[in-house]
Amino acid sequence: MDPQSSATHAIFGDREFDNTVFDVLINRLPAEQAVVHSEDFDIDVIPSEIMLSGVDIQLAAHFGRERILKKALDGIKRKYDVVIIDCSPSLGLLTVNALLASKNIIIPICPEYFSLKGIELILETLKNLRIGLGHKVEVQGIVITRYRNRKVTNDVIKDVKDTFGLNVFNNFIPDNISVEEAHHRHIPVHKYAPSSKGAKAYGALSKEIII
Amino acid sequence: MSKTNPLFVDSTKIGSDSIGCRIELSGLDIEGDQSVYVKFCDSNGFEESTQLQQHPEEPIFFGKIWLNHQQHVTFQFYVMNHEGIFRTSVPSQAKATYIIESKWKEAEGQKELIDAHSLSPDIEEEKPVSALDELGDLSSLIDKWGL
Repeated sequence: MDPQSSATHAIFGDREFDNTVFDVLINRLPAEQAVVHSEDFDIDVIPSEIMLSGVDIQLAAHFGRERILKKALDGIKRKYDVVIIDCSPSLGLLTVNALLASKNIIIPICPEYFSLKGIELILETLKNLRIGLGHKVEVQGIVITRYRNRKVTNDVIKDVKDTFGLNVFNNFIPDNISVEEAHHRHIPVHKYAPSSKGAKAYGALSKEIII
Repeated sequence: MSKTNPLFVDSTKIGSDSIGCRIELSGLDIEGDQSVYVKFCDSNGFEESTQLQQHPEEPIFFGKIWLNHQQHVTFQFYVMNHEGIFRTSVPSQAKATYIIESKWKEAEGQKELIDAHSLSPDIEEEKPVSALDELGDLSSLIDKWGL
């Protein structure tokens, strides 16, 4: 649900797709017809595309505009153990669609001052979602990315726990070049550099989230 | 009352549609023989009261009432014992959404409840935002642009 399509590019590179999540939202294409399998990642993906950036305007007058994704995923979600919806860090109809289709959210942050403001805005959004649309979403936890062991970093992590009372996952993702290189090569970091700090951290984080 | 962000307005409801609104009241302690109620009314003569229950895990009272989506309502909480009403809150205003959260604020002086007839009918209504409301505007724009 990110028009910038970073996750899609990280998985598939510059490959182009006949159908994307744009077609699911705008043309009411059944979600299963937009699903593409990634052999390297061994996951099914509904790709994103830049056309999504205009969706807010196109859907503005649609009846039930905020639940289009939820209805689309209702048709396929039983096939999967987990459905992950990647969102852009902005609030609009795409993000509201993603939140209404979700039970839990995980918030990845770089531990810096502005992230605290971002979390505050997300929590405000969840409150508005509950009040205005009657849908409750739980924050499963905060993922710390690009972690460096510095005082300011650790202060921010403490503030996240103390101020917002949110769960912060214990496995931080370090600032690690292998993760960037894996993105660039469009393969998972645990295949690209299995012994790297980044790969180990993501592996441990995955276990922590699933358990 | 604060402005409404159209992102958080249910586009499947128009202004006159009923929605089940959950009421949540925090900041109130009561004794065992007391009960908490809320009364809702609007300037069109609508009046309804319902008893609130104590949440088993959280320090709130809650209940449900059917209201017209996005309509301005005035509400007031009150506490009753076997003799009648002996505590009331300051009346509050809200727009009918799926949840109305409120904090107890004790009213001073007389323990009278709000009634619909005493409400001012001249509250400036913010235009409800729904798909049907917007369709008219978009249609005219599409005509104008020749799309």
